[in-house]
Amino acid sequence: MADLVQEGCCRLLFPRIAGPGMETVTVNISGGIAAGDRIEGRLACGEGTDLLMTSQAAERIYRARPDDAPAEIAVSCQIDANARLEWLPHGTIFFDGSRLHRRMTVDMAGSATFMFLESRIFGRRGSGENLSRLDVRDRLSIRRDGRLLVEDMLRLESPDVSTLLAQPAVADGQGGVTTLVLVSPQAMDLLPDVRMRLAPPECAGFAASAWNGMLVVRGLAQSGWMLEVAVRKILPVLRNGRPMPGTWRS
Amino acid sequence: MPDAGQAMPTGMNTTIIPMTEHEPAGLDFLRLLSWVSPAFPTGGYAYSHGLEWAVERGNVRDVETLCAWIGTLLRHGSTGNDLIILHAAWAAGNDDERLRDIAEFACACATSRERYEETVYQGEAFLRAAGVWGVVPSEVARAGVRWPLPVAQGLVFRRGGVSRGQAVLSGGYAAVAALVSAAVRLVPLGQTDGLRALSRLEPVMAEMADRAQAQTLEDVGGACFGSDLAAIHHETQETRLFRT
Repeated sequence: MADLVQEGCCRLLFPRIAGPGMETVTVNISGGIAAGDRIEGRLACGEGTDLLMTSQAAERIYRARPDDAPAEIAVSCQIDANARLEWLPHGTIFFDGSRLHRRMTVDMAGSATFMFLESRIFGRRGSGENLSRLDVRDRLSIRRDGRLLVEDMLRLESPDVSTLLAQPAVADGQGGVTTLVLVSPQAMDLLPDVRMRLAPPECAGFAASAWNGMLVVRGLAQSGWMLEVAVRKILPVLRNGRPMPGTWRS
Repeated sequence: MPDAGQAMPTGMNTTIIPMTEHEPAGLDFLRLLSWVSPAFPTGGYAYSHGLEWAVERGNVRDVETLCAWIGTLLRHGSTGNDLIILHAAWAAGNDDERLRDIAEFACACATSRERYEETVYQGEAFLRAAGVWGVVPSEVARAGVRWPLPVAQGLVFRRGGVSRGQAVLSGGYAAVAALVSAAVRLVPLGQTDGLRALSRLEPVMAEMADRAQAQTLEDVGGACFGSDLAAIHHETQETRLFRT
């Protein structure tokens, strides 16, 4: 590691692990994100490096008052030749009335590997949470060798989120959605294996596609826990059997 | 009409219809009729935008559920985003560099392989066909990027003299009409039910076309996870009439 600066509510932990790569755990010591919070992160992965970023627990986005500014999170990553960055946080839990503008920007070399995972939970049904108002813009932009490859943009701005989520074209009443993107020279070759792993009925809300040198998995499920069931089935294939991040072991 | 005052990028060799004072009124409207006609050879009849899976799952089964599905795509999903993209391409006018950036952006917005293929295959077929009118950038100016449908429509409409408002409405109409026509064949629905769906969707088409004209590419985004997933499930659907 060449350089580390951390301030405010953000901390990084470096659990000792076996293996050649580095594992880093983000910790939000404020316990969650409130309206008006601004968090910024910059990450540079040098040539040939291998970094796994995860989080200590699911991020919580708390209720904002109607005239509060949205919380803003901006993360930018540069991934040099033959380097690997795996971005595998636990999910994000949105509470009723939360407002978040989040943006992740990745600039990667063609020979590099980038894996992105994000699970969003819109109200924890098990705890009786149902959402009415949300203001969320959550965007992932990936450039590969300078060329724009991915613009994955979630925009959920509604005063009646439960009704919107009930639409079959949106979530058919389910409250959890996962997006996983893998960009690497081998990403597309993994499609048949990933589809096989997603064949069991408990993964019926998930599907995988591959094009333009990337593999994308999307999924809907009733809860964060059910999203995780499917994610745990495919991560070993996508990560070539490497052990799960420390904070994921259960 | 394209702005007469807009400078042409030098060396781009872009073909533009000479819009002279002597051109009779109504030519823009006549061209638009051709460009949004279902007979215009973009191959649109072969793409269902994931609707084929939604019909198989029973999510779309009658006029009611079809209008809910399409209305949600217009308000919160890919079809509404395409209006913003079409509008941006229309507004780019003769700026070929800007159009290439918009095309790259629109390609990056595709949420799965079939969504990507559906938009670039139709967009590039649209450009080939519109070449007859001489309203398409040269091959040199088009090389090196793929051309998604709303970008192709926006640039052709602009160069053909179609006004901003009509351009965005026409793109929305063409997309919705294609989805309704797919549903008529898939559900199946009677012709009259298809027309009922079109007529019921007019207000939301008009509203979203209006909204798109006040938006920029920064506003593209959506929450139609179910529709995006339907398009991916369609890739492995066993019995398929449609390519997407």
